[in-house]
Amino acid sequence: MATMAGPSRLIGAPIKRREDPRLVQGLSHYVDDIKLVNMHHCTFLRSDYAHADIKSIDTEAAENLSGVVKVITGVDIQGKVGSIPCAAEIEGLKVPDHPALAVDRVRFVGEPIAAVVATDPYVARDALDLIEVEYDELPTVVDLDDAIESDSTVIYDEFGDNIAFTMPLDAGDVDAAFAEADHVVSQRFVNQRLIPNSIEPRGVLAEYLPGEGTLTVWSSTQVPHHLKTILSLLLDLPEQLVRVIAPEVGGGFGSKLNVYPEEAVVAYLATELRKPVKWIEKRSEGFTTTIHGRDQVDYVDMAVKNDGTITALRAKLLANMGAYHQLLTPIIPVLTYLMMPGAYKISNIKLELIGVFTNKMATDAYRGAGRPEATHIIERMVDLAAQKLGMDPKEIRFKNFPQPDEFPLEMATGVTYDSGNYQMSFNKALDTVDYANLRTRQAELRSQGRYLGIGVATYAEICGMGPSVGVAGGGWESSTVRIERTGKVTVLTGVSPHGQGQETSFAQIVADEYGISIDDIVVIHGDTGRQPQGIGTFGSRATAVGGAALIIATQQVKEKMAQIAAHMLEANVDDLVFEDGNIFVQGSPDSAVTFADVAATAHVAVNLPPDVEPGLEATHFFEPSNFTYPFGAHISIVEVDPETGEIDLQRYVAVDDCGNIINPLLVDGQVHGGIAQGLGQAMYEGAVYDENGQLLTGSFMDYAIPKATQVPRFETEHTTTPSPVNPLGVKGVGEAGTIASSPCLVNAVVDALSPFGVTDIDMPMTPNRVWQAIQDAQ
Amino acid sequence: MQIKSDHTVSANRERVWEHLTDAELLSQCIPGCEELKATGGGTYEATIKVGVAGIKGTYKGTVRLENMQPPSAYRLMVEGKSTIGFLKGACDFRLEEAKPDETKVGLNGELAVGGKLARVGQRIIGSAAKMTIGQFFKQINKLAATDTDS
Amino acid sequence: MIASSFEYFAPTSVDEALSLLSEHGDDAKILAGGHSLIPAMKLRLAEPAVLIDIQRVEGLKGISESDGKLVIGALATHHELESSDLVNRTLPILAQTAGEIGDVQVRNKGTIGGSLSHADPAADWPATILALDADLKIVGSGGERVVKATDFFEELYTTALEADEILTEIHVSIPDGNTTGTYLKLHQVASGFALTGVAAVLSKSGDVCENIAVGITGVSDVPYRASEVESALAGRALTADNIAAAAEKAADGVDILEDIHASEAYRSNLAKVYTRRAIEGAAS
Repeated sequence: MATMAGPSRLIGAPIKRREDPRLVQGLSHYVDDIKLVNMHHCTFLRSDYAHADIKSIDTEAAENLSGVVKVITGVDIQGKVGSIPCAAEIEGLKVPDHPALAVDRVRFVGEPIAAVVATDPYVARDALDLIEVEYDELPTVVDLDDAIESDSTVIYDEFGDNIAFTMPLDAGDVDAAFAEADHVVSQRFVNQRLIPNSIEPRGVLAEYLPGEGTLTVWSSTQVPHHLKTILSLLLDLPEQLVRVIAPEVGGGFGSKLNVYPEEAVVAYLATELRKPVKWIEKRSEGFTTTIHGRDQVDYVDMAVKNDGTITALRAKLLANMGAYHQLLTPIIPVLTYLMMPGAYKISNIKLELIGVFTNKMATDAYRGAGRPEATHIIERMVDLAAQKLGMDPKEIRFKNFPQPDEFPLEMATGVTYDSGNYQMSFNKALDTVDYANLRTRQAELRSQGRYLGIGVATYAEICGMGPSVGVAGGGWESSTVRIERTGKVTVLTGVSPHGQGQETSFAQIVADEYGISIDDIVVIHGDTGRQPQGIGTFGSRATAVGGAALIIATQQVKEKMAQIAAHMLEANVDDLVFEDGNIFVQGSPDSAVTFADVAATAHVAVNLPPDVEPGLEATHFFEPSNFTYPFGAHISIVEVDPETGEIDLQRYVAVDDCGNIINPLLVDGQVHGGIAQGLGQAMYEGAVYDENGQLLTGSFMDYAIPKATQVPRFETEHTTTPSPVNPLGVKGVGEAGTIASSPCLVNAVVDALSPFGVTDIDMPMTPNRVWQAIQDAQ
Repeated sequence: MQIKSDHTVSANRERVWEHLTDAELLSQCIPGCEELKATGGGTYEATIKVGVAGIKGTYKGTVRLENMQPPSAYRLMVEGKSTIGFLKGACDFRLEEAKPDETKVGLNGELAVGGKLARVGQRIIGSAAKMTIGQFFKQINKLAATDTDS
Repeated sequence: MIASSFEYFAPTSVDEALSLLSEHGDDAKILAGGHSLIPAMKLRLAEPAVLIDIQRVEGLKGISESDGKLVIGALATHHELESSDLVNRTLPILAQTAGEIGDVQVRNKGTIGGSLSHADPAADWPATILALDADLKIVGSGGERVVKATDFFEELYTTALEADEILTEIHVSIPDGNTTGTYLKLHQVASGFALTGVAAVLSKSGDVCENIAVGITGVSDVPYRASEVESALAGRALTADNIAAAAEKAADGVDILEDIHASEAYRSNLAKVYTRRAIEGAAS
C-alpha cells in the first residue's frame, strides 16, 4: 500500500454499538414488523408422533373455515418444492430425502405435515385444530447407544441401519502408546442436546410479483445468500429473480444458519397464491422444529505417563443427527473430531466418529458447533488424568502445551493451528485468580466441611470459517466499498450479522483507513439485492473473513482515491496522508483536499488523471489460507452445598486470545454471552425426550436458559497473538466463551466434590444431579 | 410413565367387577366421560373430557377391555386424542377379595402421552393421572357400595 | 401462541363478577394477574369461552390491618406484599415469600388470590399461608364463608372454591413479638416454581419451642402442614439435634412428586434439609 493512514483512532477502541439506539428504542424492523398489502398468514400442522405412518389427512373442515385461503399437504407440493438440502460432503454419507412437508411418514415430533394460509393469523391458527390426521404409530429410535445396535428399529429402510456415516482416524501408533502407558483413564461423556432459543424466533415473509417474475423473501436468517440460491433451486426459479432480505435478525447462534422447510413452503405459497404470505414461528414451534445443538455420547480413553505426558487419545464419538440432515448436520461432529487434541500436543490419536439417525429434531450448528463437545472431552480427560496422577490440573496442562515457537503446528487430526502462546494466556488467568492462594484457601475450607471447587479449562478452537475447501457451500467472503459523490462511504458486506455488531466494527476498520469520521460510514448487509455476493455470519468468521475482504476492498478504493488526490494536489501518491477528512502531503496539512472533494472529483469525472476510470468502488472476494485457532484459559470458582447439590458460582475469569481486537466492547460482549450459554449447558439446559420421542422440555417452564440474575459478573482479560492467515490478524471470538465455559464449570464442580470420590458429572449439573453424584460416590 | 396404585371398594368382588366392566356403569364412573359407546368385542368408543385446573381437553378415542378373567383380572387399553395431544395407556386390573363386601383393586400399567400435552405438561401428568384414577374409584365406590341392596 | 376466541367481561364489583360466574358456569374462568391462565390460553391448553377479568374490582385490592389481623385483598400483587411496610413490620415472612416468587415481572403482575385459587402444587404462597394458619374469605352466590388454609387445598389444582365462588380476602393474625417465621425455597430454575418450599413459623419461650407450624409446597400434589415435624418439636428445646431430628419427618406419610427436575428421593431430601434450615432460620 503506497499511502499512509493517519494515526489509528478507532481500531482497538471501545466504540459503543451503533446498532443499539434503534434496538433499545424498538425502532428496528424484524420480519414480523414488515407488513405488506393483502398479506396472508401461514401456520403449520405438525406431527405429535415421533415415528408414524400417515394413513390419511382430512383438511376439509379447515378449508371450509371462513378466512382460510388454502390448505396444502406434502402430496400437494410433491414435484413443486424440492427436498430440503444438506450441504455436507462426507464420504459414504447417507442423505435421506427430506420433503418440506411429510408425505407418508413422520420421523420426529414437530415435523410439518400441512400448511394453512388464511387472511388473518387467528383464523390460520384456528384451522390447524380442524385438520384430522390418522397415524399408524411405529416404534421409535431415541437413544444413541441403542440406535446403532443391530436389533434397533431402522428409521430409513433403504439404508439398512441408523448409521449416517462413519469417519475413522488412526494417527501415529495408538496401540503402542496405550501398551506403554503408565496410566490409562477412561470416561463416557454425554454432551446433552440443547435448544438454541434465539430471542427472535424464525420467520418468513415472501412476495411474488407475477409480472416481473420476482420473488422477494424476508427471512430471519444468518445466510441470505445461501437461502437465495437454494430457494431458486427448490422452486425452480431463475436465481437472478430471487432476492432474500435478512432484516434485523434477533439472534441465531447457528440455528438460522440453515434452510428450513417453512422457508421453502412459504415462498412456494407466495408464488402459487400470488399473494404475500407470512409465517412467524411460535416459541413452542421453535422448541421442536428449529435445529438443536450438541447431542453426543463419547467413549474416551487417554494414555498418560507418570510425568503427566499425554501419549495417546482413543475415542468413539456417537453424534446424533436427528431424523433428517439439515444444512450442515453431519459436519458439526466433524469439528469435534478435528479438535479432539484441544490445546495439547498429542501425536497418537485413534477416532471413530459415527453419525446416528434418531427420531428427534435434526441437530446442527449451535454456538460452538462441535468444539464445545471436543473441549469438554479433552478438558475433562486432562483433569481425570491429573486426578489419577495426583498432579495439579495446572501442571498437566503446562506439561502438554506446545511451545509458542512450534506454530504453525500440524496436529494429528490433520489441521494446522495458525499461531498460539498457550502459556501466556494460562499464566495470565492463574495470576488473575492467584491460583496458589486459592488452593490454600480450598484446603482450609475443606477442613471446615465446605466444598470449594476450582475449575480450569485451557482451550484451543477452530474458527474463522474458511478456506472454501473446508466449508460446505464456500468459505470465502465478499465485501464492497463505495464512496458516494458526497464523500459518504457505503460498505456492503456478505457477512449478514444477527447481533454481532458489524455495523460498528466494520465502520471502525474503514474509518481508520480513510481517516474519516465513523458517522460518514454506513454498513449495509443482509440483502442479496444490494450486496449480491456473500456467505454469511457463523463459525466466528465475520471479521476474520468478511473483515479481511473489507480491508482489502477499502485499500483498493483508497489507492484510486490517492491517485485522484495526487492529481488534484499535483503531488506524489506515495507522500499522501488521509487524516480528519482531508488528504494532504505529509507535513503540509494546510494545503489539503477534502475527502469529499476527491469523491466528487471521481464522480464528476472531468478532472481525472489519465487512465483512471470514474467512480470509487471496489469489491473484493477474500479466500483465507487457513482457519484461525483462538485459544485461552478460563478459571471458575464454585462452592457446592453437599446437602442439596446447589452450586454457588462465585467467580469466573476468562482470558481469551482472539488475535487482534477491533472493538474490545464487542469482544467482551461476545465473551459474556458465550460464557452465559456455556454456563447454560453446564448447569441448566437440556432437551429431554421420553422413550417415545416426545419432547418433555417444550417450553421455558421446563427448559432453563440462564437469566441475567443467574450469571455472575464475568472478569475478562485478553492476550494478543495475531493470526497470520488474514490481513487484520484477527481470529474470531463469537464462540470461545461457550467452548471453554462448560468444561471449566464441570471441572470446578468435580474438583469441589473430589473429597467425596466424585470423578465426573453429567451436564446439566442440576442440584438433583450433583446431590445424586455425591450419594452414588458414597 | 408407570401407573401403579391400590384401591379399596366397599362391595363384593362380583359387584366391583360389574362396575368396572359394564359400559353404562363405567361411563358413570369415568371422570368427565361424555360418551361411551360399545362397538363390540370389548371395545368402546369414548368421548372424555379430562383435565385439571383450566387445562381441559376433550379426548376422543377407544377403550378396550382385554384378557377378561371374571371376576379377578382384566386389562384396560385406552387410546385418545385431542387438539392438545394424545394419550395411550394399558393397565392391568387385579381384583382381590379383602373381606366380605370389600374388594381390593390393584392397578399396574403404563401411560404414554404425546404432543403439546407432553411438551408442557410433564410436571403434572403423573399427578393428574393419579387424581383421575382416584376420582374414578371414588365414584365406583359410591355406586357399588350404595347400590348393594338394589 | 394464539389463544382461542373468547368473550371478555371486566366487572367492577364482586356482585357483578359473581353473577357473570353463575351465568356462564363451567365455560368461564376468572382472570386476575393472568400469570398462569394466559400462558395456558396461549398454548390452547385452556380454552375458556368466557373470561371474567376481575382486575377492576376495587374491593379486592389493598392490604390493611384490622382487629389484630392483616387483611390482604385477593388482588394484592406479590410485589405489593413484598414491598409493603405494613407486611414487613407485622408479618415479614409474607414479604419474604413474595420475594421468592418467579421473577420481577411475575411479582409485579401476579396476585396472591390468583395464586391460591390456581393452587399450583409448587406455588410459594400455600406453604406460608398454611404455616400462618390463615383464613380465606370466599364469596359466592350463596353468600360469604371463611375457610381455614388447612381445609382450602384439596387435590391437585383443586381447592375448596366452588365453581360459583371467588376468593376475596386472606386474613392472617398478627402474632406477638415472640413469633418468628422463615420461608426457604429451592427454585426450579426454569419456571421459578418451588422444587421445595418450606415456611416455618414458631414461637419460643427461652430455648423451648412453644408453638410451631410448618407448611411445605412443591413436594406433593397438594401443599401440606408437616404435622409430624411440628409435634416432634413443640414443647422441646430448639437445639440443633432436636431440629434436625424433627426435620427428618418432613416428608413422612407424603406421596412425593417426581418429575424431570427432581427425583422422589431428592425431593424427599430437599424437604428435610429445607425444613431444618427454615426452622433454624425462624429459631435464630
